[in-house]
Amino acid sequence: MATHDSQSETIFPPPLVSGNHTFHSVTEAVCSVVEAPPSKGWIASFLVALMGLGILGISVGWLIWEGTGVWGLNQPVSWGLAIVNFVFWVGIGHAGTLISAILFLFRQKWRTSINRFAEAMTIFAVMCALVFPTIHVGRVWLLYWALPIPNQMGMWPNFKSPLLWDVFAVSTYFTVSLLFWFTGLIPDLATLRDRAKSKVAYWAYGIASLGWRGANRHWQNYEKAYLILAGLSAPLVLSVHTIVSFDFAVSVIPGWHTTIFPPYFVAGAIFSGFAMVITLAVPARKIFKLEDFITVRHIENMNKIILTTGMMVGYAYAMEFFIAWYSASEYESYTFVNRAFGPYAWAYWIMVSCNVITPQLFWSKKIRTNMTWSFILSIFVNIGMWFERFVITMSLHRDFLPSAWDYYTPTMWDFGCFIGTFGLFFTLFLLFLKFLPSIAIAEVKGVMPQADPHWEGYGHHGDHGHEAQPAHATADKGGHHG
Amino acid sequence: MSKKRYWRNLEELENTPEFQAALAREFPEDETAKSPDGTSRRHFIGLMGASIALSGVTGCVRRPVQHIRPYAKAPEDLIPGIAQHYATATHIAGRTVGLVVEAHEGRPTKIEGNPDHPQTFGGTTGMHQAMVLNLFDPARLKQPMQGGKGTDWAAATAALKAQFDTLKANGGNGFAVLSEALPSPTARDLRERFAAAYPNAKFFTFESVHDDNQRAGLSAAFGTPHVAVHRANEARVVVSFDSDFLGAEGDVVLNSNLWARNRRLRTVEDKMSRLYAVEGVFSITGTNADHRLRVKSSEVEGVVLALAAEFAKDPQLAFPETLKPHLKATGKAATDKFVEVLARDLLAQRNGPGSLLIAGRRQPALVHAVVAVLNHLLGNNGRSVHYFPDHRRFDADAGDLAGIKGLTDLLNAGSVDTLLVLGANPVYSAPGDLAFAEAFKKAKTKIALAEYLDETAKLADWALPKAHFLESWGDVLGTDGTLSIQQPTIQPLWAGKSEIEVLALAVGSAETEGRDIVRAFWKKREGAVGFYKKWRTWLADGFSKTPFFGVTPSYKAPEGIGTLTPSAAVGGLEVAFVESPFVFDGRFSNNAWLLEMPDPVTKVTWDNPIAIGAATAAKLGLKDADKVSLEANGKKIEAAVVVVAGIADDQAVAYLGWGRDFGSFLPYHETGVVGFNVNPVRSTAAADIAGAKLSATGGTYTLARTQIFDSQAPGFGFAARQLVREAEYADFQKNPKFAKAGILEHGKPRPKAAVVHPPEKGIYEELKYDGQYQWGMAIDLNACTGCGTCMVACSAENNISPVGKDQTRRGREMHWIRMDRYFVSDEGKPADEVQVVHQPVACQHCENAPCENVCPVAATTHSPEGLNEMAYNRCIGTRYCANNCPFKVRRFNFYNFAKDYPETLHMGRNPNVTVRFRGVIEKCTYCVQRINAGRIASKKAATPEAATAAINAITPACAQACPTDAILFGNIADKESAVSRARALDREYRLLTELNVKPRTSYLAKVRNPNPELGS
Repeated sequence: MATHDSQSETIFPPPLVSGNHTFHSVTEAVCSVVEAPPSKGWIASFLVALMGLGILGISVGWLIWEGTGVWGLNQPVSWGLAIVNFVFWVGIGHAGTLISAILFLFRQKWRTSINRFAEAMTIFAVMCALVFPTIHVGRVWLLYWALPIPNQMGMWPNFKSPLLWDVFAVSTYFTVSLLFWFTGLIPDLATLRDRAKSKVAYWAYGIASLGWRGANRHWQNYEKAYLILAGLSAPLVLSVHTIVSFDFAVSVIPGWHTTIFPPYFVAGAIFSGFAMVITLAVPARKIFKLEDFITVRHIENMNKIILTTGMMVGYAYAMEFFIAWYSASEYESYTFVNRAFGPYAWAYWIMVSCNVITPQLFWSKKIRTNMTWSFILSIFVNIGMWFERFVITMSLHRDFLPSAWDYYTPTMWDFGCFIGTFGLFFTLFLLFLKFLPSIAIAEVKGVMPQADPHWEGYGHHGDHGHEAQPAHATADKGGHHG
Repeated sequence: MSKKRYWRNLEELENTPEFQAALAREFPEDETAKSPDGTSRRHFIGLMGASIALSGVTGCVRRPVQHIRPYAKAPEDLIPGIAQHYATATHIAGRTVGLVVEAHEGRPTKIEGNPDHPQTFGGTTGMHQAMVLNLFDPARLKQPMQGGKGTDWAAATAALKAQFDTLKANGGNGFAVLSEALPSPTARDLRERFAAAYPNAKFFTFESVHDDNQRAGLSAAFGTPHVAVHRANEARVVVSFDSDFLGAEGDVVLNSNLWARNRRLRTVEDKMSRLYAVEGVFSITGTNADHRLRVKSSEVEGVVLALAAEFAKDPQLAFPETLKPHLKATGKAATDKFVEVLARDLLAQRNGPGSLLIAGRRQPALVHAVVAVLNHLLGNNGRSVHYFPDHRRFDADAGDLAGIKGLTDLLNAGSVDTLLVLGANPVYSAPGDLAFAEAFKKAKTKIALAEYLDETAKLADWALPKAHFLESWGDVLGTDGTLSIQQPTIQPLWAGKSEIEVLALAVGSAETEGRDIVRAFWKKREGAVGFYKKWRTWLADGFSKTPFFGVTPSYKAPEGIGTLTPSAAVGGLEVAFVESPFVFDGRFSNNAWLLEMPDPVTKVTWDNPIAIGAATAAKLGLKDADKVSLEANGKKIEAAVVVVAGIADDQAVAYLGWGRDFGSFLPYHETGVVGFNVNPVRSTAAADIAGAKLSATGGTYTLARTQIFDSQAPGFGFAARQLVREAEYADFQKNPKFAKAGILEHGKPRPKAAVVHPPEKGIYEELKYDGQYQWGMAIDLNACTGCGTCMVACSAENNISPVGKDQTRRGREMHWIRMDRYFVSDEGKPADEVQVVHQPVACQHCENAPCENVCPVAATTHSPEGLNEMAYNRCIGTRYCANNCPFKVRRFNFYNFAKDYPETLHMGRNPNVTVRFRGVIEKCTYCVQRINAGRIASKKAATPEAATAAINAITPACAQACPTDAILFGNIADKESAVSRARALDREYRLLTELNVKPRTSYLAKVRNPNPELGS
């Protein structure tokens, strides 16, 4: 972008798309990633991801062949890494829908460059999450009993069980997120269809784009559908992790039986979700040269959210301790003292360091606009949030009767399943980067200065920074032909 | 016509040796069965296949072909599906219990105590409960073996007969017999006939867990060998001198039951006995003591003499002169104070409620003699203690140790041609100094009758399979002269023969079958007239109701101590050799139920580490689970230590009976050798207590413990949780409802109210329990000794899988009822000055069960009768219920523990209880199968009274087996039922009531009865 005068800088936020982009160059920039033959880097990454997927296959295969005993679980700790990973992945799956739906409803234009990306992340993360409740049960082959399928036994699932609520919440979330993502993809798929050179690509993108022609009628329906889906998704962002938190909060176990869990879990989910978006976006914008679309401003905004939600999570940690003391329940008090100073204190302090202490660095503008720092700190948050779920789940190891207490050590198969889901995630993610437009082309065009009805045309915009603001009418997006 | 051959496969056609071997091997071993976490090559290939065909594998299970065959000729009174009960009896090392065996379609599945038997009262020990597993043990010796090669009984009988005839011809020269203790009148008669047939033959008895000291001590006191039978219910003060009379020593079942009768406080007016224990080891008895004097085992003698010295000061007592020269105080202030107070307490009972002194098996003869004298002086003889002639052996017999030593000497001298070993396993259990294995090899013909191809049978020329007691006829005499008939419930599985059958063969008896031998003996003895009726009555009752059958108690005054003198002091560290309460002397060391039993104090399973106290460990620089070498009697073994508070300083405790190699029969146990064999460091001179040296050899041993955390006060300065609530007797009298008020820990009030959090409320409407039957349980912590019998009984009744050391170490043991043990100590006292509380915990059957609402598939639900039920078939294994159980009593099948069992073990299963598959949760059901049987019986009852009686007769396996009747079960809707009355007692409380879970299991709080003069 050309220089701004100092006044415009103070009044207007920086533009959402930098670089001297035209509608056509936007289409080119995004589509070329898909259309070009896979780079060596992509192939190498994909092979690594496939290896991870292989680890998942072996770990799950061994688990189902041999029994749940291959994991490190024991009598007091009946849930271990599987549930930790489940909550971790579901948490990561929050940012996508939050960015797409809630920011969309609040007309946060800056979301456009990252929403596709984040939604894909959501869907893959939820898929990873769904692996765990599936494989962690003792008899995988009977898992369908947890679904309300009419059957000859006349048995319904137990609607009082938070696990059943989980089944509904996560599957609803997955379905709506998938639809939302797919709806948003339609105009861009049509773009890819129109640019397709091979028959296979033509037919594949053609079928997927559902006959999109960019007609006014199409755009109207599209916008309505998108708005409705955004409206549906928004409460789901809050409900999914609320219900996941019920898995713990509805129990009687000290450290689990806590009313603070729903907001605390949602905040944590957003926290970890945004961290994961940064973890993915920072290298991706570099590798695929998307710096103009995923700008420093995007990263900075997300870092601010991380800072905010990180402090919410920190508040929750403090409040848990306060309530443990204030409740005068000695079991509760013991659980929390044990958390901080007991056998799992190491995990607790990793959690506090990564989730509460390191994100404070984002108070510094220098750090939150620095890509390297953002990436490193996002990794810290990812680690910290994984440990948060670990710490919560490990409340099991010392509950009411000291005679039953034990210590849980995960085995290589526990870790195999965890590492394996990263393989699954990155396999899917790399396929997404390669075969689908990773940035919402149509939407990005809508926030470009060219989309502003008052835009003065190519060649003039450089001198009028204030005019380069996003258009107010979203219906005014550029066509897919660019 | 051409000669056609029909063949199954090429191997058969060629008739290769491999094929022959495969035919002979009935149950091929699964060579792929390895530790589940170690990936073998085969497993890996299996896994690869699984990951490819993941979804397909479940669809193509090949089910084994099963045949259901009707009885062509139905046995009388046998209704398929209805269990039959037979009265029988058995003994462990000569100590008898009367039993009732439950059999399903001819297969014995459960052993219970005979409630009418005067030495049993319906209880048993864990070992008796587990004996049914020994019957079905696939590792048993299955056929006679000649020189390591299998043969059959026809060949064996012919060969042995020829051998015996030759020996008879020369008067038994060079013939020796070594027998285990046989409390059988028939065996005694056969032995007399044997002596007549072989006048020059030698007959020895040997038990590794021997009664030599008592025999010698009471011989000195009474002139002839006697055995002491205790009746602790006749005593207000009971003193144990290193005797684990509530654990593994002597007539445990009888002792426990009678002792508990004076501990059951129903009202404030009830009197309670006081138990003092003087011991170095930390025994089950010690954990139940109101006062425990911690002295080394070798110093107990000094305490007894010091106590006698206090008695000698009383001019009213006729103190024997022979004893007086040995009397002296211990010279230690604390001990002498204890002795002085104890003497006062005992003398106060002299003409009143009575007292009882019990001398331990390991204590020297002098202690037994002095204790007999003191019991007599206190007027206990004939009240709380009865001295019976020892009928298990001939009076002329040398003791067990002298016997095995005599035999070894004969063997070494080359004067034994033929050695017949009946049931004993001396190659394993003889003290190390004898080098018995070497001596054994010197006999020309060695014949061993053994249940397993054990250490002795392996070296024998003839190894003969010994019939299990459930397979053979016999008779056993209790120490108090109660005659019990041992009747079999199943044909010998592997053609075994009993000791009396082999003795009869040696004698050349006209009767060769066990039943004929026993009947003939008793017919001769009782006279033919009316014998049939008498015999039928004995069989039906399981015992003869005539008291003192065959032996009568001796009530004469002890004459003194004869020539016995005090033993020399053992300086420094010493080791006590203790019988294991579960594998005993090694006879149960292939019994997975017993191996998996946690030690009552250390909670270690599948091992026998040398136990030392905290102070000793600090002194020796040893840490828990360190590998050590134990040196005693000039020999050395490798072992590990476990550090447990409460053992005397400079005392090490070594359990007998471990370290035997069986080859694994448990699919999830990785090795065949379990624990350490300590017999090599025993010697005939110091077989029970010996000076010892323990030194670290470097490295840490893996111990599998079922309980890691030992305190109710859970750390970080938190106050103790109100799990086991206890008070002292005086405080109980002041405030009988102390358990409800939340006072615990030595009667001191809590620093603050336990939980002031308001009770939780359910979000769902609570179930109403207004039906006719509402099941509940009450466990009296005052009667519970922590012996663990309930756990074994539960395993036997409910087909619970043992899981092996590795899985136990990972915290996956499957016991539905567990025995929690917490240490209690006063602040400022040394770590070893502890008391112990035991608490059996099974599913509490909460009325508001937190496990139920969390199950997504409704696999666990509540019955209208208040049972928390588990539908195994519905369970998908989310384990959420196990997480949400505040008592952590739910058990998960992490592997298919029950699958890889040998065929014979399946025969011993209870057909009324589902065998659980991998991936499902299981837990205590209050023995719902028994409840249903009782309800059916009640519905069929003719009168309302009979219907109520049928309901009141419902007893879960744990309650049935408990030797102290600490567990009560029944209908709490019936206010007259035993359990309702227990729930109405002042001491009643329930666990975690603040969670609003409303448990159906109540506990009756513990009350200790310390002597105010000694402080608590």
